[in-house]
Amino acid sequence: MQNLYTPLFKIGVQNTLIYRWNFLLRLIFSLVPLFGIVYFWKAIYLSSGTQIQNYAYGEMIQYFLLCMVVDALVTPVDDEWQISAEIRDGQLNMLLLRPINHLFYRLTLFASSRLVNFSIIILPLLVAFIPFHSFITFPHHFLPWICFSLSILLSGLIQFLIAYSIAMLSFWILEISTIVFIFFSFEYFFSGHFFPLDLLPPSLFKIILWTPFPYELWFPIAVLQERVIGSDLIKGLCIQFGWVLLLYGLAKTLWKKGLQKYGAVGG
Amino acid sequence: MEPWAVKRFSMKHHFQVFKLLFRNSLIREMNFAANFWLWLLTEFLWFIAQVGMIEVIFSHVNSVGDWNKWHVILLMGTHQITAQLFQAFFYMNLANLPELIRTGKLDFLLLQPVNAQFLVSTKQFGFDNLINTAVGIGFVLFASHQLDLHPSGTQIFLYLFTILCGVGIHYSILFSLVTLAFWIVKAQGMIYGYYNLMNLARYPESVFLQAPKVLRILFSVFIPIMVVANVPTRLLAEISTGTPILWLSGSLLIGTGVSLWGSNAFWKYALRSYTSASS
Repeated sequence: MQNLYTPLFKIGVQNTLIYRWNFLLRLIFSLVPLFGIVYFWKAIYLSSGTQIQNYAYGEMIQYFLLCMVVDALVTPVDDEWQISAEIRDGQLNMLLLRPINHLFYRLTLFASSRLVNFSIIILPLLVAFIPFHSFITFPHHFLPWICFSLSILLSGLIQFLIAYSIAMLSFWILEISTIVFIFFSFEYFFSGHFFPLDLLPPSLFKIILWTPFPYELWFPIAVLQERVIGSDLIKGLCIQFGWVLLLYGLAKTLWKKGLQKYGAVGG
Repeated sequence: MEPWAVKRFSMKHHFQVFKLLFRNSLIREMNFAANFWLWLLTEFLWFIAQVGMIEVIFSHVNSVGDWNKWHVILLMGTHQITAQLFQAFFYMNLANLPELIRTGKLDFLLLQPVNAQFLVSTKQFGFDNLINTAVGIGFVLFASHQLDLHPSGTQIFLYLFTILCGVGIHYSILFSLVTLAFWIVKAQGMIYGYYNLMNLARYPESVFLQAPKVLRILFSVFIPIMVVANVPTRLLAEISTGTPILWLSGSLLIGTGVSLWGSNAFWKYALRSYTSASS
């Protein structure tokens, strides 16, 4: 069993590096928004004082730098497109003949591509941290780091399972791109890519905490910034884990239903 | 691939070709009505998300430099108009260019008796983007009302003219990026690059003032994203601080010229080294 997914992992690493230039360009361009974010918030803090909600300037910049770290580490890049293409173009036939579980097959490829991506982008990101190191602080004890790691892992699973479930829709409809982008707009907004979610009006913020979105990005970062502590931390991790289980069930169900449909039409 | 690709054709000829392409696009759009509505909704949601962000940020602060909330909304609306006009006419076509190169279908287009850059840029028209342009116009009108602006005829003319320049800048940036596909096979990275660069265009000029001067010059003349939406906005709403408006407008004009010329030169250079996918 252990030997089944190791070669897949290696293939995933190689696949990510086939189109070197594309990979490199993507990497460079992924750093571009950072300029905008840094100067945007600098201008805001210059005209509005030292604190916004309970974020100081340094903490705000740290938040967005961590966003990029989390994105690089656990956000799927084109997994949903690849899975969708497998289903549409019939490459799935070949995969079905192999003694592998499709979901774990894709999860392995996802993990390997994220690993390659992260190990390369972390260098420029660390450089970006340098100008801000004087007002960026990290937790001194272990607990936040452990909870952060756990939360990141769960965030990766949530994001992967969402991407996988959406891709499963390709069994029923040919073109999933609009659905991907529509869902993505909510995901992007309510995961905290635009601003830390605790800047939302409190009533809305409380509702959003029950959706899976904050647990993709905002929550792990808030854990590391020690904004979520004690019982809120435990509650958050539980909700996060709950979403992983729910989405796993959804992905599995869609896969089963989809395969029945697939067999009936394409087989 | 010399002869057709560089031969000159009259404006009238191009206009007639465009009319046909436009008609084809309309027929295709009517065939996929559901797709039309879904893309419309997608773009609309993304715009609303941006406005939502401004709304949330300005619930905590009063201004960004000398720009208040409605100035920023005016800027967002202006950016939306420019970006959606660009997308209506050109986006899908340019985004599709790497695929044409990869599959060798570009050969077929190069053989048509019409300027090749024109054809690869205008083949398909995005009707949903026109409606989102209107959404942008709506926000601009609303923000102007909130700011109590009464622009003169000249101001409105300059606003529209600079928006056209902006469309030209959007065009040259994406066109240059996708032309890279002659050498780099997989091109998703470039589309991603276009979006990431253009997102910077939505920041008020007061944000760019925080950046070092080198970056400001880079972003106003060579990759003119700083002036794309800021110049029309500032022509409409008088914001006293920041770079003098004359200076900014000048760099918009130069930036448009430089980037259009540069992307065209790059395309010609790329075509010369094009060997087609199959041969």
